[in-house]
Amino acid sequence: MAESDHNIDLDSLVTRLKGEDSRNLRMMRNMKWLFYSMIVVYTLLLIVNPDRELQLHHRISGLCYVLGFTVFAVLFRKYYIDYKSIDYSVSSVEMLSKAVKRHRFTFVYFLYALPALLLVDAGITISEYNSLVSVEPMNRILMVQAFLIPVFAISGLIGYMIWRKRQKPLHDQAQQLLNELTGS
Amino acid sequence: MDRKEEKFKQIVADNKARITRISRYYAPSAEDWQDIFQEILINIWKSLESFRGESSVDTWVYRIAVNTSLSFAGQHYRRMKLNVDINDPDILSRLVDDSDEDISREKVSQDLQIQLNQLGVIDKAIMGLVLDDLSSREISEIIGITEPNVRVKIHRIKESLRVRMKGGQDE
Repeated sequence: MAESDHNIDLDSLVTRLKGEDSRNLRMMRNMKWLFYSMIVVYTLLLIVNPDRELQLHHRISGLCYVLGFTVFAVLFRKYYIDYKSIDYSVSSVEMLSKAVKRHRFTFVYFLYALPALLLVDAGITISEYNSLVSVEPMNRILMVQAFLIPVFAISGLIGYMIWRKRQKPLHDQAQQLLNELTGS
Repeated sequence: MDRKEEKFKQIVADNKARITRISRYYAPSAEDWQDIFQEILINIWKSLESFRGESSVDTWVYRIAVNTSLSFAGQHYRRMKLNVDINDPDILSRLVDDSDEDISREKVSQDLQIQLNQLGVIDKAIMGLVLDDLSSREISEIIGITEPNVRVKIHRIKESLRVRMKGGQDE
């Protein structure tokens, strides 16, 4: 085949790539502003709101939500950046090692998300504790946990199943290529 | 035209033949090479800002091309090929260490492409670079394994091909 027989229009490709660059930049900026706005709105509504009907437990619960959302937002932003910035200009061994790391499922991810989960849990527990006044104090906490723990567990299971379907094949392939390269 | 666009177009213009060759070597089918070619261009664009000039532009482009092909192969796992021009008179000496007379030209035409396609994905990637006349040092910089390791791998692949071409059993 002659070298000239490819019909890729470089100008339109560049236009498309520049469009993607500015879209990514815009999306990152929007995510950042959405994240800041949520913190500001929740802080104003639940923590520094001068409304006299808001009691201390409302404010503490609100603070827990804000901190929980903040941890989640930081984690999501980190993963978004990691996925968007795959560097193909490093050596194949390095690229494959990073791919294995990126697509693996480890307990560490759970540990990263744990503070956020605990904060949201604490926020909901404090809020519900003060609304379930007819129930024994200890039972109020247990009732909330009996609802929240299965919700968190089911969310984790769904996350694992999504990983198994989408990420595991990529992880296994990258690992296999890496083993082939490094001879292990 | 901004600076990034200018730099991108310059790199593509200087390396078009190289990228085309790599795309064709590894394409799962004749129609797929343009997809790999375009994917390589996209990854060159995405990597432009991280280029610090620590390696030569040639090595940098080869890295992106090979890594893109490996990732492309990942999407179509086991479909990656190593397509060669079997009419090239030098092809045998470049892929097999000696000009073994037991391996006839006719047999080469029949078997070479089949045997190459039976290599593992990484072996295909390495032999694609060998076909492009890259030295062990350059291949080691692109792949990321030591130079002696590259030489050992190339020797093993060539030996394996030689044995298979002679109709023997590879170990």
